[in-house]
Amino acid sequence: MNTKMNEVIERAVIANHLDTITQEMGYALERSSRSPIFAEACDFACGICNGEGDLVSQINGIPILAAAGTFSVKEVIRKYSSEQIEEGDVFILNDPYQGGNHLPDIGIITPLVVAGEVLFYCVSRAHHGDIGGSVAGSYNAKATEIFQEGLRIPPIKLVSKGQVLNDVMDLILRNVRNPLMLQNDLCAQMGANQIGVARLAELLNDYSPARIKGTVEYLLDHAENLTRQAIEGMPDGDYSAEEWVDDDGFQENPIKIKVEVRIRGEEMTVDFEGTDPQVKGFVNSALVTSTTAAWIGALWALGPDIPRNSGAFRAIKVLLPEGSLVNPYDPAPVTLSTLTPASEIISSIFQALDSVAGQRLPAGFGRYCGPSFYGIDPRNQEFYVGFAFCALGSGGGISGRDGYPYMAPLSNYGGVRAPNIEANEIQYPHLTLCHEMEIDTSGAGTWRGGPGVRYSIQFQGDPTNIVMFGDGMKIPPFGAAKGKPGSLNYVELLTINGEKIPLESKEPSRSLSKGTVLTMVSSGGGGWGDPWQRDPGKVEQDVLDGVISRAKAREDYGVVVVEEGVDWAATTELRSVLLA
Amino acid sequence: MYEIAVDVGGTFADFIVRDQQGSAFTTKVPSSHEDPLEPIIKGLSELAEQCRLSLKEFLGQTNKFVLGTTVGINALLEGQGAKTALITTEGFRDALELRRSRLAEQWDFRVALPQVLVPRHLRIGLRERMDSQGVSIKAVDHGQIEEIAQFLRQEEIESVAVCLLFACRNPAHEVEFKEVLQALWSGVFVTLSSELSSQLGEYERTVTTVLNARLSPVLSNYLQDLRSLLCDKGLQVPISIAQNDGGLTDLIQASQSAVHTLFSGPAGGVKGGWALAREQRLPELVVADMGGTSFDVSLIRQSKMEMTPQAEIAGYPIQLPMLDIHTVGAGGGSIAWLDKGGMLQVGPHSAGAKPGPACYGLGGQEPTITDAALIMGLIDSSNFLGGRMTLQKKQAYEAIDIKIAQPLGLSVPEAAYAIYQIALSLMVDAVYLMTVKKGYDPRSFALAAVGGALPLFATALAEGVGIRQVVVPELAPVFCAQGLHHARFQVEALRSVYGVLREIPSSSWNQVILELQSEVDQELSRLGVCPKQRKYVWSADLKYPDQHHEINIDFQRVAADPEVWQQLGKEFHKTHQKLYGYSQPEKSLLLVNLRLLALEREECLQTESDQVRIQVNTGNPFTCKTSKRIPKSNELTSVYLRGAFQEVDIFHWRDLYPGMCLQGPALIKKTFTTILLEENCEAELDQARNLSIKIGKDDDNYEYQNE
Repeated sequence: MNTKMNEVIERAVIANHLDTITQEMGYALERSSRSPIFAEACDFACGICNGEGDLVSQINGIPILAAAGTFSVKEVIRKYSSEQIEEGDVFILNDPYQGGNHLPDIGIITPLVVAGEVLFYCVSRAHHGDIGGSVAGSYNAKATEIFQEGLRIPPIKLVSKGQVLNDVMDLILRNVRNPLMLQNDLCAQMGANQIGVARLAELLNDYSPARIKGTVEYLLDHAENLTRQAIEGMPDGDYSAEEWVDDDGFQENPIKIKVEVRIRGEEMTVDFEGTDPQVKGFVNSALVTSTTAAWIGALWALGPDIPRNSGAFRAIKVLLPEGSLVNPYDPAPVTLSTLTPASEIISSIFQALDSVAGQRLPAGFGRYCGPSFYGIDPRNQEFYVGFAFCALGSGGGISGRDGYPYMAPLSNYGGVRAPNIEANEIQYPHLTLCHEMEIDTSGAGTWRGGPGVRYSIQFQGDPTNIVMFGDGMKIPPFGAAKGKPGSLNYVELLTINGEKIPLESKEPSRSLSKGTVLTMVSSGGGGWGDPWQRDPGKVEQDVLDGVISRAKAREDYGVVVVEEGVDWAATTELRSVLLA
Repeated sequence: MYEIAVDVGGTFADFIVRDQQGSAFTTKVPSSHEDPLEPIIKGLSELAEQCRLSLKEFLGQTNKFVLGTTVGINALLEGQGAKTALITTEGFRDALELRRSRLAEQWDFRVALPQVLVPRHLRIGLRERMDSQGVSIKAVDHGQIEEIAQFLRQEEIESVAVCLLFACRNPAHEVEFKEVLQALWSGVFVTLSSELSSQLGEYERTVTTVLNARLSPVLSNYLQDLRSLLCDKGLQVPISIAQNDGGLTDLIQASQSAVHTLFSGPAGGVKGGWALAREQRLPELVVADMGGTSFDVSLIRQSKMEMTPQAEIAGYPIQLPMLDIHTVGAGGGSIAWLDKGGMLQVGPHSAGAKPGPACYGLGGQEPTITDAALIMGLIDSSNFLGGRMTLQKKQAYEAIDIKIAQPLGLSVPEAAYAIYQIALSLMVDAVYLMTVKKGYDPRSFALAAVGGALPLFATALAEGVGIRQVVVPELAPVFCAQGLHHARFQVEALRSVYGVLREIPSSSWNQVILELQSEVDQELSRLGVCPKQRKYVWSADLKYPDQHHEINIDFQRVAADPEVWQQLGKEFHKTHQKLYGYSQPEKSLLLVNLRLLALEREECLQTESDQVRIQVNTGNPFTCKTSKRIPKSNELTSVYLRGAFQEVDIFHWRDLYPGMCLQGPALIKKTFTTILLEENCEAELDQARNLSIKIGKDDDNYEYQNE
């Protein structure tokens, strides 16, 4: 009876339920994990893949982790035959050349085996505070090989038929600086997967495996159709752009990312031919990160309503030249890749597609730039390692509204949760002196960028070690549609002797004495649209709010602001002169 | 003497009055945006009339007046509020605007964030600093407060919010600022973050404080007006106001803490569920409410209302413990649509009241859940909203046909049924997630179906989640107001401790216990609750030391005794295992906060529920098979269920009498709602005139999960 009607109902019902299960997994992960980067900053993703490893459903989380789950599961499937994957098994991996992003991100994969066949894989990926290597926190700006970045874990079993393989666990924990925290957080990941697997098994009470598989296939096709329709809605053509990374921490020259997006009917190809060769430092981006960045960049241009699953991904072809910055040969170092150049891969696509994306895309965003810091906490004599998450830059303007301050870089947009200053000070031995927006940093535009943020901390540990990593000290967030670029990142130390030392974006470990102050001024976002078209009332408010100086109001916007407000006559005159 | 409860909502104001014999009178009056006081007088006059009294006599004989209000939340949603300045620690005046970077909608850059509630030039950094241990490392600069006072007057500020770093650990600087400022400018309204929340996290605490500063003057004005109006009309008792946690407070407190009343009305609904749970002896109860635009779920567990440590409204975090109410965009007006890939979706967009569902005939073109129910034969076109509105079946048919049925190749009834089922699945998932994410088994709950639209879905929803019993209360249409009747005065106090559980010195434990006790007692005395009427609930927020989120565990004995702590630890590990799939009993625990909730006892309710218990205990509540009081219906209607139209019985609620049993499939019609009794269901009206429905005929392997 009513087969067609039942099918219509089943599809929506199963789709909603899979999303509910991933939400429950995400909730469990967030609430039960330990390391700050994981629990407070929410640097994780989780989802459900089908038996072939195609991603079907995932939580909204860190965009650059969006597709990582499918790569991880597919690596497990590639390595293990179906007979070798049994009920109660759990797999672990982190190798960027075998299904991972970068070494600190560990993937945990738990299969649901039904009648000898894997019906689903639950997968969670999370960023852990330390994975070994030459420096604590595992962002090693001076690594020249991945071996210096930490422990590499290929796809292997961590649990076999319900029994934790202690030899494997011991080997992993012996190679990291925070073994207890890592162990706890692996428990949290396995626990969340276990919840997912148990819920998926309950689905079998209502539907046969064949029906579930059929519906999942439909959901993937559905996302692919939506993606192809959106591509077809864009005019055919070749759209290209160039974006740049400051440097690799060794050479001084900017590194080019070249993209050409080719649209033919419902086909889209994102081709990075012409991108610079791979480099010595850790700004290379291996296949998983580069492909994910290209997919999500293109999907941002295509529209918000497409489910971010493997169906959508398979409609977008990504070409990554071998041996280039975006597809280096093993063992090139890659740890920075999930921030830079992932964000720059995305922003290259934004610039290429800006004219055809229906004003969906913003101007440039701030790039991440700040240190990891580590040492012995004088309050409890324990080792700690932390990150300067409160140093986030700001968002670019977009048609219709100004950019927001204090946004994660594009690769992490909307997913990272910046810690409260209060939580940070309880966690780490430092005193925060300032965390406020900085005047004259936002890129001018009809819709200006978000202002950058000044963030100062005074270290209490003696000594405290810092390792700088990031980018954006040379290349600012781009302006769009005649908007102006945002400001550059700037970082400096103030020693206890009153000496000011500007820092580079990529530096090896530096030891600081107690009382040293580190100040980071992050990028203001790029502006969107001609600044001369900005409503003078908004410029006046910005001046009143101390976000823009009067001099900048005049220079960038052609608006004369005096004590009483906008001087309309002077403004009209100035704008007419400069427009002429 | 009378007890009055009024719930003034966005579209309707609901009224219920009880006399000393326990008889209830109710009415429902449309809310008024222009004159928010007018509907209150109108509704009260109608009640007075029902009691055959003049309004003056009626109010004069009233000894309790409880109000649920949406004044605060409406002002928030409409962007209104007092002109507010924000004082922060110097160097940190942007917490409000910087937010925390995480977004609800990350795949659409165009989506705007909620408005920043205090512009930057009215945010002032004060020279002072507490460190993370709550020790002052920079004293408050009194000279600067003078400058601030002058600036605030000059800017004609109406309200001042103060949120300083680590005031949650030590409020001294905030208190000092307030004293100095008020000495310079007496009468200025000042909200301190430490008066509202002791939780860590300056962003959330700042937003909470600013909201309170903006909204309290608005609420205060409204309450003053209401009080003088009601006094004029003869009311002689103070007004009590329902708060987010389901407890009551008085007018003085409410006027200073509007943020505590944002969920005043919905809290009444949860309280109603709580009372129902006690009357029906259903300690585990899902309270589900479906109105025009949304589907709201809350839980009663172990006879207690479930709380959340913080909530979010319109994108603003509120850092206060409150009743946990989860909302999904699936109401009667929710729109069914096909996405570009041809997949059928329901909600979250709603056709609202205007133009409303297509069948309202007010110009709505989009098919909604209400249209689907009409086509399925579940609702009667001539008797909608108690006969106030006639529905246009043709319009509903056309909207579903054009927008859904034809593109999918389905018949119109099939498409309507698909819409119904998908809406249902959204509700099933919502109830499911609400329970399982807290480690509860949804099958151990019963379901209370309230609100106009839910009873159409209730039996199917219960079945989808695995719930075996549904209750539709007699007073479902004024359920929130009815719940307010059960609300009592309630205060909570909290101290942050931050120590390893087993290493806390007995002396400091005892001191915290004493402080909490005296704080709540002082407030209860002010509210006029005598010591004999007081009840206390102690709890502790615990976590593994390196963890970021706490779990709240109740405890009974407050002695500084290792056994008490051991028991707390045991409970924690057990709960952790349930919630997150693992636990580590070998680890020590960090005690973050100690909490004390003090409540006014509900004496009258005790007797009420005793009576009910006696009645229920006279036999199995489902006695249908033996009692044979199964009425015949002489009315049939055609309803589309499981792929075909079938004839089902129609019953009218007004014709039912206690003890009467009904077998599904049937429709039970009631003013403002219709109950769908599915095939495998049996229903019985109890002595309190609540309809109790059992899902599934086979009750052999089912037992009540009373604990």
